[in-house]
Amino acid sequence: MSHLSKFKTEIVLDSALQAGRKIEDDPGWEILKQAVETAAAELGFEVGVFIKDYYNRNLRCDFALRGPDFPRGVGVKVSRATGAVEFVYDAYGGYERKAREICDSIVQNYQSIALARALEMLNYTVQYSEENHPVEGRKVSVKGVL
Amino acid sequence: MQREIKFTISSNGEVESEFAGFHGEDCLEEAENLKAALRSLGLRITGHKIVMKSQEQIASEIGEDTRSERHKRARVGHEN
Repeated sequence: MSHLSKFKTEIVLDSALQAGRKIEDDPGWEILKQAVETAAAELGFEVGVFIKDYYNRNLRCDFALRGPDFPRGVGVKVSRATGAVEFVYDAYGGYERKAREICDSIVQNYQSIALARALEMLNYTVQYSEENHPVEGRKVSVKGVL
Repeated sequence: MQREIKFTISSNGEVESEFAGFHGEDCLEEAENLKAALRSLGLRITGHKIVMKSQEQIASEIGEDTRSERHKRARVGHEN
């Protein structure tokens, strides 16, 4: 028998924490970094560690993406207590849609990288492709063959 | 037959998967293995909905007729 399924995901970097190591040693940390860098390259944004709020105050994050379309930027923070990943931004003034787009792009990149690596861990040969749907946006396909 | 697992990842965060070429409930076992691998990589699966493929879908993947398809074709041939 074979099957079809649908699911959503949450990003929680807690493998290293559970083993008593620091969060930067978690296998997901490097995936998150790659997901952020890929999103930044796609959007023409810079990667740093500070975002700004409406009052131009700096807020330190683990990763921050800032660019001309959203100069305040979107930050990614990973909880040192639980490994939960959260996005932070100040979208006041009509930036909500752009901020959401950046967050979605990071999540989609993370999912793609993690799914490809998980398939490789199970010895599948992985093929990767993507297409831009006019209404639904980017769709990424990750296929494993064994 | 080779085993294939295909994921389609939408921009809204929803993921669709398709398992093909598995015998019996091997696909469910492999899905659990993948779930554990993803967990170790920081990705937790939520709201998982599974639909088992029909015998017709499986037969078309491996290029075999099912009894019902053969029956339908025989009936069409008989009617003609």
